[in-house]
Amino acid sequence: MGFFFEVLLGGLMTGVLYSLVALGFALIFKASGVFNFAQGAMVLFAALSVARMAEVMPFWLAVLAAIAIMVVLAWLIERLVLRPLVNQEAVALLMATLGVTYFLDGFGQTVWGSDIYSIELGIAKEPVLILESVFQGGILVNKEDFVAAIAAAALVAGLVLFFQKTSTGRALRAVADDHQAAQSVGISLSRIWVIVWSVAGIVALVAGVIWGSKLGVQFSVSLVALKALPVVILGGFTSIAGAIVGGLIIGVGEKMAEVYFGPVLVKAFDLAGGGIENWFAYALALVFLLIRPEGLFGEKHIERI
Amino acid sequence: MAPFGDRLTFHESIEAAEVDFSQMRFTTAAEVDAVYDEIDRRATATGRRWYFLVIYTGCVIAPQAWERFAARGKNANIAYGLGSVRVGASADTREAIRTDARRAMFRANIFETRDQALFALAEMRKRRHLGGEESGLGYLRVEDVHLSFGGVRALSGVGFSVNRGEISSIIGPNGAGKTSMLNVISGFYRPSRGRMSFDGKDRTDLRADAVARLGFARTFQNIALFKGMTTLENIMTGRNMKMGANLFLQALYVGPARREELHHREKVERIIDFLEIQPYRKTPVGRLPYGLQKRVDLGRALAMEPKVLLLDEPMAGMNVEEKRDMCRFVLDVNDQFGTTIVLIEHDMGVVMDISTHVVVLDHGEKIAEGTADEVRADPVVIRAYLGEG
Repeated sequence: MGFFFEVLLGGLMTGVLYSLVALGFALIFKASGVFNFAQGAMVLFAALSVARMAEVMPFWLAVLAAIAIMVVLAWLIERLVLRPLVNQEAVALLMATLGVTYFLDGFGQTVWGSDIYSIELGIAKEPVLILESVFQGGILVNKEDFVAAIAAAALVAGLVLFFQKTSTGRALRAVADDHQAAQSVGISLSRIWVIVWSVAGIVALVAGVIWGSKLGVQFSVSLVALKALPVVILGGFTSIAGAIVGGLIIGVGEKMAEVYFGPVLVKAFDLAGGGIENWFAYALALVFLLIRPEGLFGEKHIERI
Repeated sequence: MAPFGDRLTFHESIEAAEVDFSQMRFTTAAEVDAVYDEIDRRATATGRRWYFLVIYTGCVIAPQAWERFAARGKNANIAYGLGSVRVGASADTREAIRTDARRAMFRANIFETRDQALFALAEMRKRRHLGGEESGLGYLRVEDVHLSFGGVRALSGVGFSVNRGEISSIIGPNGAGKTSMLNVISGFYRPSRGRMSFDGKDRTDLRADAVARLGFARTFQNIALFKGMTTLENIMTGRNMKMGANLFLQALYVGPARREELHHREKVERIIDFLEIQPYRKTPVGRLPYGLQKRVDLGRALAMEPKVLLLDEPMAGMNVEEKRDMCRFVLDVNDQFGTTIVLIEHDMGVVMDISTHVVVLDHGEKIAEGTADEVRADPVVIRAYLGEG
């Protein structure tokens, strides 16, 4: 039983990170109808910025500076990419974000270098045992993972509150619902887009820092976005709640599959085993696409004919 | 019943006849007649017309007396009234007045306090005196506006002006360019030629959100509400641009941001009362029937406290009863807040009666302009609506 919870907890902690990246996707898709291919590149770029700047200044200052960079980046993207392409077809915008991806990857290397950098959060990496009184042998958790997961969860909760309770949050939701109606009440689309891309940038930064402290800041960090893709398919492209729940489901699902489904496969077909974690999310997303294409919380589109 | 005596006071300075019904009881038609006979006699003796300031505090009108009461009030208004404001009506009386207002299409104008009523009265007087004077003239000016989509010309050389405090309507058959015109005014389309000015300042090149911040609110023909939100939240979005607290404070939801939110919430509640949609405050708007969605749409526009209210076919798809309601709301808004109103309508019916100024479009060109009666009698307009022959 203790082992099951250990797997569950590990899955949830990874899941929160998936949720974070997926949240970035969902936010931008909701507010501007753009599928932001550059989300992964933003994660990497933010992580690189923090890692390199932390070498010359205190960590907290590096984080603040990186936030400023992400906000400036959001503003530039709105000015140079979104605004000129407004009312263009979705494919054109997707291609534009693909361009932003390659630009950010390359530009990040040019500015910050292409080695593997580390981010030190100053939390012990040794695993600790918790809940020893409840389960025999307790549950083994990585303390750093644990803190990171809680920080990520707090950020998600904060964002949800921000969207529900503040007038800017309301303006964001208004823009997500209907661009013209939002403009008619005096909401500036460009301002909202800058805010949304900034928030997505900050979310990317948190994900990047957490991921980077685990794996080291390197190109592979940007691939986490590919894991978030099945999450948004699962949760629905337009749903904040979907991104959160979807991330947790995928996080837990792939760990569970690896641990419990893997051995079954190995036994039944005499396979080498392992690697399930890599494709499980996509397989699950595919199943969802077949039975519920709008995702768990997405809007159902019914077309009149 | 005691003589009416000093319960009727004439305030020369504000052109108001104050009628004090407070604490009175009307149980029979005869009692109503006794009071109104005296009011009629004394008011007629002044030899001029008055605004009525009617105090209803604590006044009880029995159902069997109501019909006579309403009839006498209406007659008095026709004979020597300029308009009425009412204070302190009980819930029953308020409902009765509103129902009558709906039926006869007059403005209910019921207020909580005497001060509010006096303010509204002052606004009514100001508008009457401004009437054609230059201060309110050409509040919104549209000059030689052209608009085309690719090769299709939607508007060619349309020009007119709207005076402050007026209700103007733009009418025309299908495809005349009415909605295009409204979209140009509200900044959604940019005219390829021509100019627009508001309150003496050019505003041709402003985008829709900037036009909104200038004081223009609009409703949509196909209702563009925020479907994911409740009635309350939808109307709150109308207050968004009035909120000043910065993003950072909002994020923390403390201090000024919180106080501000509450303050705006109050204003929104008042609009919800005004539009009589209290029961649906927390209902997601997608679930409301069409007529109510139109009201929420209007409520969101009102929450912006606009200087100019643009209504895109506010009566489209409504039944007779709903149309009357909408008319009353439009008149009430115009009266109580002095809002300038421009509305677009397909059929010449009901809106003509409430408009002081009518512009007729056909095939993207202005074919007539004037008062409702002038326009109705214009052979060019008749031809546009009924076709050649």
